[in-house]
Amino acid sequence: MPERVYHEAKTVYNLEVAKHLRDNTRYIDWATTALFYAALHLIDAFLAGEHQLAKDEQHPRKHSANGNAGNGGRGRNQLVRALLIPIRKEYRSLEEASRRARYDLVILAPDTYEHLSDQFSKVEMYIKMRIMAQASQHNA
Amino acid sequence: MLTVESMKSEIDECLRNVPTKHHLSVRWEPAPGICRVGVCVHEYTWDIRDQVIDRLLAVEDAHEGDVAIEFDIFPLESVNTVGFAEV
Repeated sequence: MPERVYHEAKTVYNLEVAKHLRDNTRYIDWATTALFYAALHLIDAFLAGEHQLAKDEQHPRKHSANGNAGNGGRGRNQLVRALLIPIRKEYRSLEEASRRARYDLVILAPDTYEHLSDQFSKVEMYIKMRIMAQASQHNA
Repeated sequence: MLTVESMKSEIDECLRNVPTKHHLSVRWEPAPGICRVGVCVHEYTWDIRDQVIDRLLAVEDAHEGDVAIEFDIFPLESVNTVGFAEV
């Protein structure tokens, strides 16, 4: 599944960027953004293995959209709600923090990144478990 | 039928028990079904932000399949300074 390999590689890369920026620079806003995109690619790695979904939903191109005709399938946020509810709040929190970090000049509170990092860890652990379950199903 | 006014009223009601004052900005895009919500809170802490997210996701749940909520949560302080950019 080449798409999954790509998304997993992008997760690793974005996480490295986030950690580097967090540990070595004052650019916590971009560390937050990289952390969110690491989570996004984890979600996409999982969705790429959900073969019962329409192609547009296995590879979503939008953050948000309902499933109405003409929308090209549900957005990633709606797919997270439908298929990955235990980490929905964490994922949406990371998305919101990333957007605010990019658009606003206000420096995030010192402990914000640590909270977000905990949320990322929960997303990562859960997605890895679900991907393992997918692999078991596909091999059965 | 959903309107920007009905969504704003519903979200406002949902946020009533969050222990800080808030101001809402709501935009509604009927075709993709996206409701864009800005929540400005007077007391911005991780816990308050957490509570606001819970309530906004509950509103999204109440309109499953029809409404996708995109939200931003920001402190009042940032609106009163140069630190805020409208998105």
